[in-house]
Amino acid sequence: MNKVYHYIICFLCWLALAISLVLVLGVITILVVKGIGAINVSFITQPATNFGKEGGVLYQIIGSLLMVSVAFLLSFPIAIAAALYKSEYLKDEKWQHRSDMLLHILNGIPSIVFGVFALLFFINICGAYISWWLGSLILAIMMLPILTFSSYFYLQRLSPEIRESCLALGLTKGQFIRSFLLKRSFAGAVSGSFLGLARILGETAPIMWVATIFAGAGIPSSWNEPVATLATHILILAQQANHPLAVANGWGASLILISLVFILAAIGFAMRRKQLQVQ
Amino acid sequence: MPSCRKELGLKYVLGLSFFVVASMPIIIFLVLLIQSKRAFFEVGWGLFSTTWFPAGQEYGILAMLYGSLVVVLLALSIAVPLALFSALALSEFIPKSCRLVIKSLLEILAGIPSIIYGLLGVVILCPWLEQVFDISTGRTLFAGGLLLALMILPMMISLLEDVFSQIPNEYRDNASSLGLNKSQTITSLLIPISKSHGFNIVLLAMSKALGETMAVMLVIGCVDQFPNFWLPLSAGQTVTSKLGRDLGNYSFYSIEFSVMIAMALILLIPTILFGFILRNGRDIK
Amino acid sequence: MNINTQQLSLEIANQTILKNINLSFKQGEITCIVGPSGGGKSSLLRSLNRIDSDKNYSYSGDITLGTSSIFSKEYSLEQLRKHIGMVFQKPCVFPFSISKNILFGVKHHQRMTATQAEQLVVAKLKQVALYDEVSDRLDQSALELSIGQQQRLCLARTLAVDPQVLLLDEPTSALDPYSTSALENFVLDFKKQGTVVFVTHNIAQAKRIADHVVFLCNGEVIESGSTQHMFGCSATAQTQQYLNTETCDC
Repeated sequence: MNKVYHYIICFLCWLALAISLVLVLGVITILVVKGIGAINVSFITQPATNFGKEGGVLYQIIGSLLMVSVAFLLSFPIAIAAALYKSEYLKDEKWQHRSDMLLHILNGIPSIVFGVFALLFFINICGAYISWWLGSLILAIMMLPILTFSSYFYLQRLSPEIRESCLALGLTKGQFIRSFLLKRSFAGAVSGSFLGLARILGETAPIMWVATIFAGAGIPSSWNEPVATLATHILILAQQANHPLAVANGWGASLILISLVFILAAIGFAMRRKQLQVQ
Repeated sequence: MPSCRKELGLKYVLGLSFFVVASMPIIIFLVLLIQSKRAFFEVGWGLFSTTWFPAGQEYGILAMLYGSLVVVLLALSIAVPLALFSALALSEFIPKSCRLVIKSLLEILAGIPSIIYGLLGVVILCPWLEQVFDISTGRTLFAGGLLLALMILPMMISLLEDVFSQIPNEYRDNASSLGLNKSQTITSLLIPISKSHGFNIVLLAMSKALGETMAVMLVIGCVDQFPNFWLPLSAGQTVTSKLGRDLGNYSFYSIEFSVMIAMALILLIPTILFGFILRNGRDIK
Repeated sequence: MNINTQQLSLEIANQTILKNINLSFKQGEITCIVGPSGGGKSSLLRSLNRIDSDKNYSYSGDITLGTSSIFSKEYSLEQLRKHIGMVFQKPCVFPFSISKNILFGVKHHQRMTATQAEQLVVAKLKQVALYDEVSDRLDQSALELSIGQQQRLCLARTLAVDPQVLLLDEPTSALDPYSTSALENFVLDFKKQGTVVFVTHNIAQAKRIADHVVFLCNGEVIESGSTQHMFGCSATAQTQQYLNTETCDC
């Protein structure tokens, strides 16, 4: 009886693993095989035409990288400053817990809600035009929790002895922060940055109303212009799923996007692992 | 000489940044709340009707709420058992070297942007459903559920496997020494021990599934109808797919726009609840 | 039941842990295995109930329980461990109630009514001298007990399965004197109807409770014999040196 039970459970475990592996490998294979079929030099170097059914994704790649870089530049200093404050000045336990919870909530807000907020606040209430930098702005907000936590935890892992020695030497808090902690908070935030960038690079919902348009966006040459991104481009192509050309280009754009996300995430994970080892 | 003003200045600058970051979620919540005031006061209980027809002054969002619920429950009912047994297989039966490889693959899948899952759904899943079930279109609630299951599966397996791996081997040794075989150890000891962590993981997955937009939007059919319960093979609408598709179509000053904002506000509720319940977020740490 | 090893050797990852062990653990006796750390005492003990059966350990030689080899089809792993119980160095209570802990193993081997289960719990707790201390909180979590109480609970849990042989791996090394003496008294009582194999670092403890002593060093049996012999002048110089000074040149 026990033996039968054992075989049933073992069978279920192996079956489940097999199904999961088939799904996982299947998805990866489809994305890689179909994607490679669509990518060639001109795909990467030509702009899109005919709603993406023809041409390449040059503007999309540039647009994605531009938007994400600016988001990073906006988010990084604020996150580091917030992490420094939380680590060095915030002594009240209650507020530590509350800020933890607020950051977790911010991190868990669905992307579409960010998109709705962006539309509502920037465009409707503040009256801005569809602009590429609004996309960077909302993406920067999305990156804040992960950057802040990343920096904060690295600051927390500083041994108390070092802290005490610096203060014993007569440094004020401000000098201590400027000369020592600033560099450390930077280092802590960097690994989180790559992971955060990997996430926002693939985001569509937050930016689709405030930074992109259905077709025709090029590389923005001024502030108030929309931009094309890989993620929204894939959305446009997916909505034309009846046209095989659109689908083919969709796979190509997907593979490029995944590759960029993968590179960023891999760097982020490697840096995080190194950080954990060094301590 | 360090100046007191400089010290204070630094403190205020850092404090301001902290305030900005911490108040973001509150600001977002408040903005949505204010804009959805019209929906709550003017439509009120009408929100809970099953008909969405703004031209006829019908603003019932029940179909969308139902769609979200059906799709998420379907996804969980597929993904949870699959993830549980896969995680057990990984932690109890697979040698360490293989485990690392498989976990890396799972991490890769967890990082794929949702729009790409949407593309997979539209191009591969829906036509496949059309073939298998002999229906005119594969864009159904069922497709949404399946796709969501695929999306939450890697993360769940990875997290559950972490939970099982972290149970010290002493527990297994002690159970073995009492004459239990591996399966009995798994069901009588390992699973009960992991119940609370497992529950948190399921909540996390549910939260992600509820908020998922891009993938669901493309495969669900986007029809504002209340489907027959026995036919998840009909097209439907979730809260997120409605927002994704139609928000841009409504004028900012209209009641329907306000109702949409109310729906976005409703989406925030699970996030806030789960923020209270789940103290540790994996993505951040 | 007697347990005998015949030319038992154990290799783990190309390292020899046990070399040519020939020992006899007799019914009605307490056999203490002593020796320096890393000498293979725990490995020898763990071979006896095949608790490492799913790891890549390569055994040669044989171990017999009674008349049959424990590696044969005669004993399934689960049956073997029913007959041979084990108590570990670090008490590992499960995060359940005290009653549930005790019933945990035996529930999988036989069906019991609620009354039978209750009676079993009480009987086993009394057997390990723990009943008086916990009789009012049998439904509360076992994690709230002290280390000494937890170890006795683990012992009661093992006894509930009704083994004929008890393997104990330094069970009192983390315990207070009261729990230690309670456990030693129990073991002295148990030997009347079973076999006891007791690994210990504590030479005084071995002298107190053992009928038979085995001195294991570097995976080899340096000497084994009755307690009288081993602690007397007729033992080899190496043995005498270890038992008197706890140092060994091997």
